[in-house]
Amino acid sequence: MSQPLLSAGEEEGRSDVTALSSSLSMESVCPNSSDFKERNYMGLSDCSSVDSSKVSHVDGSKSRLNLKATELRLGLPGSQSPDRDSELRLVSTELDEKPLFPLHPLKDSLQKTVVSGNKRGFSDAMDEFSEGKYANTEVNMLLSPRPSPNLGLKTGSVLENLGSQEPKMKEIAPPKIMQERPHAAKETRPNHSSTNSAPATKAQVVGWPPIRSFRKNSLATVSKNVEEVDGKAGPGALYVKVSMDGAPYLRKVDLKHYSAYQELSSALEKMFSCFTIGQYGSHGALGREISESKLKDLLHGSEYVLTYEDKDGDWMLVGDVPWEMFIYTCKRMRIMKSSDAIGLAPRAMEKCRNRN
Amino acid sequence: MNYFPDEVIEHIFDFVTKQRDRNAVSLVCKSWCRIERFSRERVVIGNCYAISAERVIARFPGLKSLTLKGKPHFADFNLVPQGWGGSVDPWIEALAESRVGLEELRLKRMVVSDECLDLLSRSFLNFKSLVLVSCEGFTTDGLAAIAANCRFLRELDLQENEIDDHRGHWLSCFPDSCTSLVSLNFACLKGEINLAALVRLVARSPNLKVLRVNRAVPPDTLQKVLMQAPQLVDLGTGSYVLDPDSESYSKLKATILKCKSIKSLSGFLEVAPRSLPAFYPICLTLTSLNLSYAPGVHGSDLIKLIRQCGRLQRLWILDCIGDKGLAVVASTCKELQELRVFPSDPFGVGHAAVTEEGLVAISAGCPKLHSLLYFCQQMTNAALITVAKNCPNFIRFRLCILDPTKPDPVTMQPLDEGFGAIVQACKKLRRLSMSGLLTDQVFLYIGMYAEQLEMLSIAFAGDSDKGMLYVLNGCKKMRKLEIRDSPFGDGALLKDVGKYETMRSLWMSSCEVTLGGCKTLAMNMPGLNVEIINENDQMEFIIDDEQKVEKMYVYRTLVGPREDKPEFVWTL
Repeated sequence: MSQPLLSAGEEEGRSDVTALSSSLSMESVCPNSSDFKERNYMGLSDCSSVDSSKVSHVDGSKSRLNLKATELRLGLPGSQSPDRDSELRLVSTELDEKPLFPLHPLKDSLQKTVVSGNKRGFSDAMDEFSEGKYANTEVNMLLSPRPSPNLGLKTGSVLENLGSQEPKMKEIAPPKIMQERPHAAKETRPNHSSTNSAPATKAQVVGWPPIRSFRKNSLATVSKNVEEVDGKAGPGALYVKVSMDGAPYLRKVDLKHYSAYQELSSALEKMFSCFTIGQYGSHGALGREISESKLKDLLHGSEYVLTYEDKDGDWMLVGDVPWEMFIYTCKRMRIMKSSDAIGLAPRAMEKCRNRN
Repeated sequence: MNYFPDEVIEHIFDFVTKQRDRNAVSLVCKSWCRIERFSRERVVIGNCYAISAERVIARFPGLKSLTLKGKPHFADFNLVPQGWGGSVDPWIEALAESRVGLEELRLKRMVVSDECLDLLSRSFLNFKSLVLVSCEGFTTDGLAAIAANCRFLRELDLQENEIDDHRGHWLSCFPDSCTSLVSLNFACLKGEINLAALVRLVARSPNLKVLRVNRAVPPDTLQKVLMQAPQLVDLGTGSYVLDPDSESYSKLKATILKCKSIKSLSGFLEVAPRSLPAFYPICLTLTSLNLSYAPGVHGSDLIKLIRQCGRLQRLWILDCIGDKGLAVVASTCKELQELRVFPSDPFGVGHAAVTEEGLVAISAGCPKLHSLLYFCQQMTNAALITVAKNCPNFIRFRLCILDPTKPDPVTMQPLDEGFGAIVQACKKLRRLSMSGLLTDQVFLYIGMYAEQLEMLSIAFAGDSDKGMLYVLNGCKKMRKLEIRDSPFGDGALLKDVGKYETMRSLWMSSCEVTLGGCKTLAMNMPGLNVEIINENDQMEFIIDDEQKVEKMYVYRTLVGPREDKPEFVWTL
């Protein structure tokens, strides 16, 4: 009992993709034009940089040439260096697009689903993430579902991730990307030149890899062996977020990396030194030693207190429990201003006083 | 039509045990249907929303064992928001009100409340067995009710549930008169338990065959428990951290020697690898080993352990075993039937991962392998083709490449040919999950060759509607199809809407399906529930049929749209 309900949907579908993507591009890049009209992909509007997506059921090759570089996809226009892209496209268009969305021009009608701005497949989306963080906030906002009603329902899982996981990305991105680059260089992917960061961003996709949350959580919170693991970063590195009051962004540290509180403490000092020194700007000129001792004062002394949130959700002072137990129970850390550490006040103040 | 009296036919039906066969039997004629339904004791409802409790009870008044599954499979991976549904409460309430003498309840991916556990424990005198897999919504208080009230409880099996642990003394709630326990698994509990109560409970349970404890149970207690239950067949240790030079260790080692029946070993939720040798003596008889929750055990320690396990049939392990370790498995475990290799560092750089080499080695050494779940760094077509040739008996083949659109790293080609070889060679394949770079071609192969395929999981694959159509047209036995992040749209969805009534369910998320397409489907197929999950706030904006649907879950049902939908789920 197959019913060819295809035809009805098909026409609409096509124009839908058009309208969606062109309005997308219009919205995002050309604030002037306010209506969502159906666009001719070849006929570019006033905003010459605007273009509809790589919808290819019109003349694909041409669109690839002109539009690729400036298209608005899930990512941001110009988020990949356009020159590099267009050159690559000339040569390797087939290879580029084939894996995800073969941009064979003049495909039959079923190909209408080929591309719209939203559905671009994993690696494209992932690349956009990594690029995304460099983009200006303005464009970022335009990508969010809110302004464009057309995007309302279909945000794409990837887009959702962009919204919900940006903070996560910020933390992970700097160290991870550094690590990932050499590794990723081997993994050339056919469709994008800027795939270097793809391995770093694979953590961002909801529900991938497909492991039951129970198992994922167990792996994350499991305590390490009592015995020593050899030096290299073994399986199950224990990254926790570290925030500092007044700092514009958080950091992440691998608790497995350290074997004692002192090591952790010095590492954190180094990590957050830029913020604290910044607060005392003019001291920079006075030379390193002074800043460092000032820093020590800051972190060990009366200015800041190192606290952590344990498995029960309580905020505890770092240093009370044995190191192994600490790693096992610590979910995240916060470098708190002592003035804020009211709840911890008695002990913290005492400790500070003792140190001072 | 019947040449025999009903009792004789009923007796014959006793030998028909599989649900599918019994369903077939009941279609023959009215009197067979009647006889069958009154004698049916076990019912499996694969989708709790496909039928109502009342109807099940009405049809099978002799029901003793009920299995229910709730949320769609992708809920395991956080793709289904909290509050979606799948509550078992209405079922327990209906059963409690009826005359059904329920003895066994098995739930998967359902939401269970303490209240309904309490109701369950008080409503069925003969209640014997509770198995909860991947469920949530309850606390140890509910377990306490079960322990206290089910006088003949034989089995309490909790697998990977999210249980709010109130650290109460639920274990102590087993009355002293409770001596019927055969199977107790609370490995997924995160809190402390009363260790003394555990030892006492084991001591008074002579029939105990399966015991899996949680992380709060230290080796000392394990030793005491094993002293009381040397007859155990299935053991799950808790925390296994002790010094091999200590007296506790020697004591435990001696005790383990007495446990000659252990066939299945799991747990090691914390482990000191140097103490693993205490278990070597039982390795010889082990048929099932699960070390997939054992963190930080080096490949070399794992290998030493596995070298002892010549009779292993099932192995669940972390990828820190490495390709080399898998080669050892291949040379040691000739009887291996099921292998699961989990990622130890899902978001990491992949130091400890396995590759196609490990899988090829396994396939060469373990010809009886029929079930596979394999998380790896990479896979090649050549490897898959080899695996297909070596192991044509696969029933379940699930391959997950950590980077989901990765092509064959050697040829840079999609993995179409590799998976094609698998489906072509493995004629009994019933379940398949794929990853890696995949085009429409792989779906053509699946449609052509995977005749027995019942469940297919697709992610980030395919180029066009054709892919999905190949599958829908070709796989006659398809029951569960779940697709995410793939470019399949209304064209594929609507081509043959009748197909979905032959299947249990279809899940599509982040695909190209539009609201209009879903509406069309719903309009034409009243026997299906077409549910849309909308997590955004802009419900008001959604008037446009052209919009893509984020998550769609379609399933056949006899009872129409469900009434317990949260506001973010629409039935069209």
